Amino acid sequence: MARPQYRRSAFFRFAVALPLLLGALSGLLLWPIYREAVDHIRAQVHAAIERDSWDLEVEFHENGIDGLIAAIDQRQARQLDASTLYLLIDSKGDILAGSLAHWPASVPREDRAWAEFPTERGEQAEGQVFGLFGQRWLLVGRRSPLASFDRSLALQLCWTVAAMFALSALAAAWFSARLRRRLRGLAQDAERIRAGDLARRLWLSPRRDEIDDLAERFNRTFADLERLVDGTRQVSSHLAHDLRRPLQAARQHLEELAHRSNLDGPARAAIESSLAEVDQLLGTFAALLRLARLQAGGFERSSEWIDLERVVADAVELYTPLANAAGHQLRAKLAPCRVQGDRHLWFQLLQNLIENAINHGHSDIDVELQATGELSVRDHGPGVATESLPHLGERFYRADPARSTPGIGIGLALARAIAEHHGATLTFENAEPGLRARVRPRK
Amino acid sequence: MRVLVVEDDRHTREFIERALRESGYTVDAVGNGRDGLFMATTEPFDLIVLDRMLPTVDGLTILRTLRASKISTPVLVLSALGEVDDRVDGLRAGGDDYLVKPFALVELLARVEALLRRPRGGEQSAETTQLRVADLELDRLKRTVRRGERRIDLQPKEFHLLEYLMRHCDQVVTRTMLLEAVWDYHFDPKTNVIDVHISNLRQKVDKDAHNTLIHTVRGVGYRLGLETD
Repeated sequence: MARPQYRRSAFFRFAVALPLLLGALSGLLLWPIYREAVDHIRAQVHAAIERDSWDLEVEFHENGIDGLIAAIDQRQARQLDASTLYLLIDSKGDILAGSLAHWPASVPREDRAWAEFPTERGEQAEGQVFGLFGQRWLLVGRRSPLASFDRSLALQLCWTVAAMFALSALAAAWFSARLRRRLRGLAQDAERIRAGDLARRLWLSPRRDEIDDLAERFNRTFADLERLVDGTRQVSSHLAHDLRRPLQAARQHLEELAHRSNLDGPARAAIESSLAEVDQLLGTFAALLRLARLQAGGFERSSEWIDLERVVADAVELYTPLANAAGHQLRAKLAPCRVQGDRHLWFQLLQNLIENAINHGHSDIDVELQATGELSVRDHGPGVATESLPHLGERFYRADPARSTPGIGIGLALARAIAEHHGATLTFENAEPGLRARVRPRK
Repeated sequence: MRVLVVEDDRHTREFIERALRESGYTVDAVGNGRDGLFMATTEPFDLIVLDRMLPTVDGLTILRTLRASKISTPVLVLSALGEVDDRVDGLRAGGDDYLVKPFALVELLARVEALLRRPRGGEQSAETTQLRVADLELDRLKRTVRRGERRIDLQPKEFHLLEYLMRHCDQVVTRTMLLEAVWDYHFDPKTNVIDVHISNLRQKVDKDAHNTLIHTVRGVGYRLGLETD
């Protein structure tokens, strides 16, 4: 997940779509202007030709053919307009006046006909043909400014569109990169909150924009959540704490009774079983309080290096007779491994995992420790329904809905809290058959 | 044997006081730290049962003051703080044992007895290489155990277990005491994990013997010794 998937990113789509859209839009807007300009120029050229030919026609009517030739020569000599083209031919096709070398092939000899033709220099020209009396033909033309105009205007328009495209792409990229960075920051904050840092809040920029608005709303939600979670944590630890005193008193009374009285069998047995039950309750409360303290970060994380292999071996050694008595084989495969932490807490974690395996497994229990610090305890019991797996290790969660097995769902929660306290994760998976608890140091 | 109890909770104080008296100790009990410190420094006691959190003068302060003034009376620290680091604090301040509230009376009595019967004045006795109870012999250097003529092979932890029981012969030792002393981990076993070890040990030690040495004390723990209850 290190590289974002660009196709999926809304910002990427935005950064591509915006310049495309702007480019298309500017093209669409500029196209009619371009058409308009071309039409306008063409109309002007026509008008100029018509005016010119009108003058020449007048000349012809007033002064005859010689007058016309003189007028054409004069105009060309004056070079008023470099773009003017004239050609006057007689019935045999001989040139009487004008600047063209010959009558262009594409121009029909037809009175009042408009035609386009190339000049000798290869330029595009446009002109009107006039049939004069005596099978003479006059071509009045203009070198068309359109070709060069077309090229330069089109080029300019293209540049404009390209510049627009590039600028908007840049702007979109910058904008979306900024937004993406901000969102990534928010996502990281959210991830930290999810990971248990409930006191953390999303970062707000000093601008107080819409995103900050949204983030602030989320922050309020997080604050509510934190209060709720704190509340439930506190309720259980307060309960555990407050109920301990009266329970303790009850325990003392019972114990004194058992200690001093000369009670007979059944009464003594009743007192002893009550004591055992009170002890179990007190033990649960102690575990709850320890769990609450672990989760609230009340333990300082020990920086002492401990021999984890030794701790695991000790736990296996301690539990082997018990496992054997319950019909299990406790097998250990250990590698040398040193970690920073508290050996008593690690021992407790193992105790809870192994006791869980003994209570729920059949036959073999495999305890494995790798040199990387990865630790797993696997039983060969029926395992746990897949949908329950993620909930194992939650406080008071029990996979067995009938709650027929002993325990109240503290042991694995405590194990998880201890793992997390040491910067590790505790996860569960079905090993087909059996359940595997896996403690992995976080990278 | 004279015991000083410093505990602010009246109910618990009276409870401890009564229980210790019934067990044959002479008991003085005070309810705050200042009185406790005064008593502990001015009168001779064989043992002090000291609550950790006290009004006026805190338990650990009393402990440090006592040790600083070279009063080496054994101190059993009582505390509602049961975590390992709390325990380490308590022992580092000069406590000889640490018991977490709520505790069982028998646990308290067993620990009081163990502290009072602990060999005083020098470590030589603790370093004895040969331990003997009736016809059971344990050699710490050779790592051998004999019962009469029979040689007994033990696992390392079983050896430690037996050694601890023999050191505290004729005393009641609780499961937690065994766990702390032999395994050196502080936790609260929810299962009868220690019992299985003891029953394995008992099988090896008391097998074929005419009298049993390892006795179960109901609801409390174990005792190694000749005479039965």
